[in-house]
Amino acid sequence: MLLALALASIPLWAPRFWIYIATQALIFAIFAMSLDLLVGYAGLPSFGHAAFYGVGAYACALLALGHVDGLVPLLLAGMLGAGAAALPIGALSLRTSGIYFLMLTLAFAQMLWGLAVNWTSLTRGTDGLIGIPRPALPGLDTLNVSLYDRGPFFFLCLLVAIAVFVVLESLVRSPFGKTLEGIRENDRRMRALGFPTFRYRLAAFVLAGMVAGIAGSLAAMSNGFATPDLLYWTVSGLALIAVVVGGTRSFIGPALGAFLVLFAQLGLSTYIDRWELALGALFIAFVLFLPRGLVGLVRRA
Amino acid sequence: MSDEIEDYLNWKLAGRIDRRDFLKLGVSAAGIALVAACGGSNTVGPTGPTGPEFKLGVVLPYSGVYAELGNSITNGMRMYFDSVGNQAGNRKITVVTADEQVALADAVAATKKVVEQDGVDMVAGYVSSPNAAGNRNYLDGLKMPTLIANAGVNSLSRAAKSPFIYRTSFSNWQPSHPMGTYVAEKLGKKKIQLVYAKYGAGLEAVAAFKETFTGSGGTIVGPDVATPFPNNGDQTPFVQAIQTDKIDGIYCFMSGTDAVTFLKKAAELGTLKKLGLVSGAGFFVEQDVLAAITDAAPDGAITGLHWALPLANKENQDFVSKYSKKFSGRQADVFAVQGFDTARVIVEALNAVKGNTTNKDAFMTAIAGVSFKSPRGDFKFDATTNNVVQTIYVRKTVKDPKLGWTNQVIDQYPGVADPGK
Repeated sequence: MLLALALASIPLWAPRFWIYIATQALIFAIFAMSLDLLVGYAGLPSFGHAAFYGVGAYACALLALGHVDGLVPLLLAGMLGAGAAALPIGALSLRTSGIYFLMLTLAFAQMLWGLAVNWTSLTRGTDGLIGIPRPALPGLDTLNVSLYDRGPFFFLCLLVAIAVFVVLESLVRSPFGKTLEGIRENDRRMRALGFPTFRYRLAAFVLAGMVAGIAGSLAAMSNGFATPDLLYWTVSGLALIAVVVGGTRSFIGPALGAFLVLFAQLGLSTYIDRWELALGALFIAFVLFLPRGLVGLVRRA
Repeated sequence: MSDEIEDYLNWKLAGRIDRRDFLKLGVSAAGIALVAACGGSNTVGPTGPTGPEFKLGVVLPYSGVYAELGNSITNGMRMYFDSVGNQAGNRKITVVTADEQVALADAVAATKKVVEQDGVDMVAGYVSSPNAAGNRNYLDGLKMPTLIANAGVNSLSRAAKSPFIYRTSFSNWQPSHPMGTYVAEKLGKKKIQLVYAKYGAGLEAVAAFKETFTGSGGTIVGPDVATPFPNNGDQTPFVQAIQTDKIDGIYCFMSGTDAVTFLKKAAELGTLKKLGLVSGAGFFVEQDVLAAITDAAPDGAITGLHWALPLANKENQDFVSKYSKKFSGRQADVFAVQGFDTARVIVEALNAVKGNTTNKDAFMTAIAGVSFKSPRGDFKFDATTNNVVQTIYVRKTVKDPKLGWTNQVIDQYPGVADPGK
């Protein structure tokens, strides 16, 4: 609650550049939270989550370039587009587990990346789709509120992030979430109890994909472009780092992790040539000394 | 004391200047100033600039596949700024760098950082075409004076050109367009297969070649060999897709590491020897590539580019020797020339407006009016495209007894301007 208030005040005092960075961090936080539903709660180490982030961004971008300027349709496009991609990928990947699941999700994501690069008539290849307009806000235009301004766009991202947080939190507290955790702990026993565990996992996979798609839509609106880089495995890796550094099995953790990773990337890359090295060291330190992440640190204190 | 600073500066400038070095320098300079103040022997140098500082934001890749290009361009800029004492129009020029990296998202963040955080007066840089195109609307919207120092995407000289964005490097069309005529008419090679890295620059370059080549009676033999970009995998299947028995030669667009791995593999498999002609846009065999592949170089390759190391003009001879002296033996390349010219455009425009950049339209008019003798030959801007007009040299790859592998100029097309309207 306090955190949300503190975040909400950012546009009031922060310089323009930092509002931009905070917006990027919020979008990345939504993405990281969706990944934690898989990694933390369902125990599914996906290494291809960027696929849904990217598909969401492309779906939103294509629709926006096709002159759809409603906020809700654009967010829905990202969400449903990503969900549609997650269904078959999940159905195939979830036939395996552990390291095989990790490799399969990675492979599918790289395939989609290849598609984004090569399907030039639709995606314009490596150049990407650029010049994506931001949605209009009917009614609010008269009040001079436009999503092209950084403050309002930041608030939009904040609202979506809070909504996603609330939905995901209530989801994991619901019987569905408890079942998911049960499956994570002991798949066989849950099956013996009569739960269709595959379907539960698939549902979690598609849900996580849809939330990642929302993050992707916001990213496309925020940046004004969708490029194949969004689907690249390094994006999946960065999200995994955010989840682990922030702490799995909570949603506030990955969100904090996302902020830390983004600010670290920005801060470190300004001062250190090999900033990836520093980020890697940070990651190792967290895994070794703070396996419960930032959240574990707070809980211990 | 001040010699010490100068020595340190010269030594540091050989590499890349980053913020830490500036800090170190600042600290040592402050210490020296303190000592000087205590000693009471204040030495006032030649009159320095008295106007406000002119901050230039340089967005170039210093990491990733294009890091070498970024470093070369920065070195070239440094060299010119140093030659005029880092000042122009009574303003001290300060350079703030940000890492363009590879992905557009990072290039956008880097641009926003120099503009909003560092509050620069002008932006220069951009190596990769998507990054230049992706930042175009933001820079244009802010009316930020911008010079593109490498990215060749045609649209910036055409549909997406901006009165605030000028280009000192080339459009992808420029080096390849004259080559179609040259290959078909002067070399008499009529059957060519296209080989290119499949992204904006590659597609635009081969399209320009194809236009004049087929217009002069040549035939493109399909299918094209289009490699992924960047190609981190094996080049073998792509090299084998060259139909050596059906064609007179290939026309190729590849750059940097892609060109290196492709040429090495083509030499290894003996494909190069079977080809009557290896031609392409000059980046394919530019000095950075030749230095990496040495004797795997395609002897006698014919390529088009806006510069060549052995160019005989006085400006180039001067540039090449000073560059290698300044940067501890590093050989100059086309990217360093682009950086050098970019800095010169900035300095001359600042001088022309006497340092007054508040009227941006006047400053852009001054930029548009800059022309000079560059190491690449005559340099001027085209008023319709905001792109440089320049000579395209037809070059032949040879092993020079003095320079090693390089490209000898065998013909030229002066005053090539992008056809944008």
